[in-house]
Amino acid sequence: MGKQADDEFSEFVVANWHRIFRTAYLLTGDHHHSEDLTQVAFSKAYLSWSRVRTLAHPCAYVRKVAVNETISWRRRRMNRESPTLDFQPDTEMPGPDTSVPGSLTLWRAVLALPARQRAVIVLRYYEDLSEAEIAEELGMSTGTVKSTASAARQRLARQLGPHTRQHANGGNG
Amino acid sequence: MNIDDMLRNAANDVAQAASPSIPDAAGVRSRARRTRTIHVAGATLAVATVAAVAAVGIRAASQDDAAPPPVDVPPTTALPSIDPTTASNLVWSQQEVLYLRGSAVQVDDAYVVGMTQSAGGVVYTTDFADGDVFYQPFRGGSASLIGTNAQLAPVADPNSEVVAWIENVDGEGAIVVFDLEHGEVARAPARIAVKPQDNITFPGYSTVLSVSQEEVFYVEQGEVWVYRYAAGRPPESTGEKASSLLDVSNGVVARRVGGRLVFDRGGDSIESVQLGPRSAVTSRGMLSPDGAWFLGGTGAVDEEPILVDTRSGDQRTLGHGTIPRSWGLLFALSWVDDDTVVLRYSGAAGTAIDAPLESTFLVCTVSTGACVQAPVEGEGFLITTPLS
Repeated sequence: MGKQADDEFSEFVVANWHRIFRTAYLLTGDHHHSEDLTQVAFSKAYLSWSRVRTLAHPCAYVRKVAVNETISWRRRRMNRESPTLDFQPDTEMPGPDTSVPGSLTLWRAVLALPARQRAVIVLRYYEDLSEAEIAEELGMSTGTVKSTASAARQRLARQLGPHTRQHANGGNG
Repeated sequence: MNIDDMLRNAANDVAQAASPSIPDAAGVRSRARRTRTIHVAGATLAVATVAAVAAVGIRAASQDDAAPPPVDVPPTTALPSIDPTTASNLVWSQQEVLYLRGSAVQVDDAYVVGMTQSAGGVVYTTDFADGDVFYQPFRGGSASLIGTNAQLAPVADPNSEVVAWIENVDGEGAIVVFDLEHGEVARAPARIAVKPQDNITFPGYSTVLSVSQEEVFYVEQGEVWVYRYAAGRPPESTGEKASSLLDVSNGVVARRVGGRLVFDRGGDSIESVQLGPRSAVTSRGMLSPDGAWFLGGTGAVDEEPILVDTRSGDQRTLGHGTIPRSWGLLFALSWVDDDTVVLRYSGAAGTAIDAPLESTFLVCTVSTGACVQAPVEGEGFLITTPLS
């Protein structure tokens, strides 16, 4: 890789690192692993930089690698360990409606979801992707995205109690 | 607040509360170049899912066969037996373990599913859908990540350090040529073989037929293309269908014409004798690295693989009368060198649908016709090298 492309890649990393890290953190709940995932995702982009740089959305490529790496990572370690948020217990962030679970509680439940359900939730609610975009990113059909999102919401509702349950079927995601 | 709003808020809250590390472009570059650590370890003994699925396929295929159901006979020891874990002429994989001519290395948390052999080592992919390509030298040490997004198994030149694969980045395909000593040497657009999201290096399957230090032959939508990269030429179609042009190696072209195999070498054309009714090249078959021999087979154990002398057209079968008749060749015809072929037979240890697989390698010396077998109890193997 020439110096110009190398510099361009460095600028790309700096501009997008935090975004990818945060997505990775939502997927894993683990600071160390998020950093690792972020580095892996960018390193794969580096290996293919001559092509990635020409894509309409190079950052989407990196995110896709991170998401799929997370799913692979979960599969590799299935039954060996479960992700948990590495926040301290006193960092709960209550929502404006105190009758519903706080963000931290809710996200702990998200982290307990199967990897693909979690990925769909993160891409839908944090990355704000459409079902079609999620389908493309995860290599599944739009119908599968819908059913996966629905299953995730149902599962969260079961875990989090009656307040969420009544809304679980009404999501648009 | 409905659950959509709750999830959206929670995602943003948690993401904002996370403290990203400092962007580290240098670390990223370093990681990209860094070798992947692998550890010497013993073999694991769980049943391989992919192999099991393939075995089910074999069983299903055998049920489709109009022939009477085969009668199982237990493997015998009629052939000299060797230990595949220590055999100095075998390169193969079983789940997370890569066996390199008698030594074993464990691949971190991944099954090796696509292997090919260069002069100095093994290039492989894993069962993750990321298309990572690794190189493990025979001399030992760590494996290196040499590429990403390979859609199907790579194919190497056993006489040099050149390897090629089809890459897929978001549906954009490319034929990539990589020199294991000097890095990527060429690439050109290519239409990918399957739908964009399927970067699955299926065991032993590749659309690259062969690669040398001058050119790559590969299949693109049923047609054979050649990329003469050393001459700086773009890929061009050979105008031949992949169903008839079977392989190209060391200047020898193997074709199927009607019920015969035809070998072209520098203007000379040699025909083999008429093939059997099931046309013993249901699989594509492979030329030896020097182009002197062609190895083909149907995959059915009751039709022995054929070995054809490409200079005379004479053919003979490779004996394997010791294999249970319900077993099959499972992605496993490969050339170890110009004079050595490996066949891998696998089958169920019993009649139950979930019966564990058993396998055995036959390692045959072409010049003498002598074979040894390397059986493994209670286990299904993955591939040896790609069956192109």
